[in-house]
Amino acid sequence: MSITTLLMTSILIFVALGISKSQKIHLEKEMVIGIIRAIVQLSLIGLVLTYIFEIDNRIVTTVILMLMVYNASRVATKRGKNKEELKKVAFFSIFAGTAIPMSVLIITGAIEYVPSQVIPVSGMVIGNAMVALGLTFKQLHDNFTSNFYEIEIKLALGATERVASIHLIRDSIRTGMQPIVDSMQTLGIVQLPGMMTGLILAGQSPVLAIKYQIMVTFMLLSAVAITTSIGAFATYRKYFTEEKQVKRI
Amino acid sequence: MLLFEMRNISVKINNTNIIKNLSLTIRKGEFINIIGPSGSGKSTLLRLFNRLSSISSGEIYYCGKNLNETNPISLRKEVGYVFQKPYLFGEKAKENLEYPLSIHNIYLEKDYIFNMLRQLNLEQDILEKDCENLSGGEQQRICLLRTLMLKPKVLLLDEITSSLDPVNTKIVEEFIVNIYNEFDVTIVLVTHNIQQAKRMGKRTIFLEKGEILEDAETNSYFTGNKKEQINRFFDK
Ligand SMILES: Nc1ncnc2c1ncn2[C@@H]1O[C@H](COP(=O)(O)OP(=O)(O)O)[C@@H](O)[C@H]1O
Ligand SMILES: [Mg+2]
Repeated sequence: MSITTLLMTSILIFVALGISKSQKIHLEKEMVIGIIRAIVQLSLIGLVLTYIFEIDNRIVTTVILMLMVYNASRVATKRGKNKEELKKVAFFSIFAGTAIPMSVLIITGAIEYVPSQVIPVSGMVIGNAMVALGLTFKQLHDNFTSNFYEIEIKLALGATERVASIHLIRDSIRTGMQPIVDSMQTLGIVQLPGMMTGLILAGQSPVLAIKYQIMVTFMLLSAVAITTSIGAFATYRKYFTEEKQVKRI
Repeated sequence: MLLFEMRNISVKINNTNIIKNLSLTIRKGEFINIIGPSGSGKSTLLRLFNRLSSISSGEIYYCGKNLNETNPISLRKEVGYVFQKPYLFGEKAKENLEYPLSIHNIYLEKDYIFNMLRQLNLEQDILEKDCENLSGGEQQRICLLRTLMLKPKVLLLDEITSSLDPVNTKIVEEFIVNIYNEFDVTIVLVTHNIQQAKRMGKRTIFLEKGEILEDAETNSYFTGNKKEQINRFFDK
């Protein structure tokens, strides 16, 4: 695709702006900002990626991956309380949720530890882990808020913190994993995932694209399972005091 | 034998003293009422006995041991608590009775449960019923039974009849008295009803604004001159 072609497709922007203006949706300003940001950010990342792919250095690649995990952990904890504590947990759980499946892919030879492969694949993993973890944290918080009385009754019966809240922990893990499990079931029927679409558009055979997509699905599933369960089991104790009382939040 | 001893304890929440420099002893086998106006700190005080709440200063001893050094889990297994508002978890009523047994790996003879159910005026088939279909009175009786599954040495009861009608209240009261007579148990019962206090514990502690105003035989509250605040409370 040439730059001229790309510029010509920008006519679509004016369709959206036109609708917004004529229908008084008042999104024009935000749309323009969004468009400019998208172009600038993507161009920059394009330059950075080109540079990183060229130098092809393992240390640089690893640093980039850690930065991605770090950013994701900040986004996943954007809304929680006790942010500092939670960020550490988020970093560790996203890190583990990414490192484990990625190691399997590298050891089995599905991908190589070169930036052009690990960075985009990790990006998918980290992005999904981040969203799942955010959901798990939120659900855990809601569960502890709305089930305060039940937890207290169980503690009063001599239950440990873990026993008193295990069903809530499990529920929050389930909530975090649900979207990926749901989307797995409609894969190929309702939507062709972005990565697969990209490969096909770039001229790869659909068979290869599907192989990669299946691999990505396995990977995302395990990443999300690892991240949400580490995240939930590492945070539930924060809802209890040292004297094994449930905190009022 | 001294079971609980509280020495100059205070409870501070958000910079207000809910319990103020209170001292109190409970001997093994006593049946004590704690009475006082709403907001006087009765629940807060009761929750200290099984460490559901914490003291800000002072000391509490349980069987001669500082409560801070006890394991809250084993303490709570011995010192049972029934809450004011009946609440059952799970789907069926029986899950509530199985729960304390399963988390502590205890086996209990069926007869114990059936006997308790009978004393509580409940049919055996209540165990198979959905919790949400039980009346408030039935729920509270199952809550009581849930705590008794662990055969606690101490029973802490926080206004457990406050949401019940007179018929259910009578059943529960008689049951508590039976339990007290039948088992080797110490009971601390919180109530805001002096008539109930009269039917229950022999000793009554009157609490106001986090302080003990009176600690005497329950009967003595009905004779002689009482402190002004207590009279005012009775007149209501
Ligand atoms: N967790 C808490 N946070 C803030 N205030 C509390 C808390 N628990 C109790 N209080 C306050 O302490 C006082 C005593 O409460 P409580 O022990 O429940 O009294 P009672 O059981 O006698 O009605 C009340 O004024 C209540 O508002
Ligand atoms: Mg109360």
